[in-house]
Amino acid sequence: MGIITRRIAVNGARLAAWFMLAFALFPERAAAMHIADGILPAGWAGLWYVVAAPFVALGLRGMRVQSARSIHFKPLVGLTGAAMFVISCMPIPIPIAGTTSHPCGSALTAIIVGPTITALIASVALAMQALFLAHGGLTTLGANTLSMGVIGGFTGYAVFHIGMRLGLGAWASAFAAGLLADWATYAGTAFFMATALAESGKGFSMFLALLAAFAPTQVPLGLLEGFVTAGAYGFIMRRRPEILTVKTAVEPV
Amino acid sequence: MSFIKDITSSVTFLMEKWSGVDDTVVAKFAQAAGRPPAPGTFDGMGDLGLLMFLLAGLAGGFALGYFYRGLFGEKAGRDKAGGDVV
Repeated sequence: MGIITRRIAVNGARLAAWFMLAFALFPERAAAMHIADGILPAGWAGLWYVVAAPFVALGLRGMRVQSARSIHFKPLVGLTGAAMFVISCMPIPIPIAGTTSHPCGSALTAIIVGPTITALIASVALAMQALFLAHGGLTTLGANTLSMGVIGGFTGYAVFHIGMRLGLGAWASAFAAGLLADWATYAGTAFFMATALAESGKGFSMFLALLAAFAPTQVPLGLLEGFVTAGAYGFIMRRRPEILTVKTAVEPV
Repeated sequence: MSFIKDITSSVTFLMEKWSGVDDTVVAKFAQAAGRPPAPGTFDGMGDLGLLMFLLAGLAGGFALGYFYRGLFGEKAGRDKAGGDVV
């Protein structure tokens, strides 16, 4: 076995052991922004599929184009995809609320590979979670892709680049992107729930009630996601800054 | 006033210790609206759900380590022994 192969195996096994430990400690259903099968009526579930589909299609196109332009792009998508899959089903205890919830990873993914490919990655990660981990559902995959991949991804991407243009600096922009993308994702979930489930004329009040119910958990978790996004972005900037320019040929900044 | 009452009562959903907000928020609102979540694929099948979590952790962790090594492991495509990384 060559030295490189051995290092890959050792690093992979080490990380896998940590994640196995984390999953073993928290084996309960831990989805949070995920809407499970059965919650959305068929008409609403179908509508959100239709709305999400063009973003996923654009992600597929972007993936094809950018993979042809850079040999680093597929490993980058592999890394961000695995990260989003793991992050978005990892329950984090929030002591002040006494509950658990998960970050989304949408902002970091969107900053690195672009928002449409984030939608594609989210759809794959969410489909696997629905099939194997009882997180979310196949009938609600469109709504969940929209909230985590599209709303979270585009919010994170936009906030990051607006922050950079305003001269906030990379750290503050990445922090704001992580924070607001997380909150936007949960606001998206609240919107999909309220539009589908509220009685006539009570949609807005249900939306506010859902936001209020999410807030004690998601306010601190959003801050955590902001720090993680800024930390990861800073790490890439120091270690391999050229990675951050891989995607810009297709998705304009 | 009714939505203030809704908000107040919704916050009390969060009193169940360490439950995920899918249960304390999403599922409870859905149940209140008469559309409870459907059972998951491996619900009620013993430790099969736990096994799937372990396998997902293994697969996700391996993919993270593998691609991390490829992208960040060695500077400028060279290993520590000085050979080119293929």
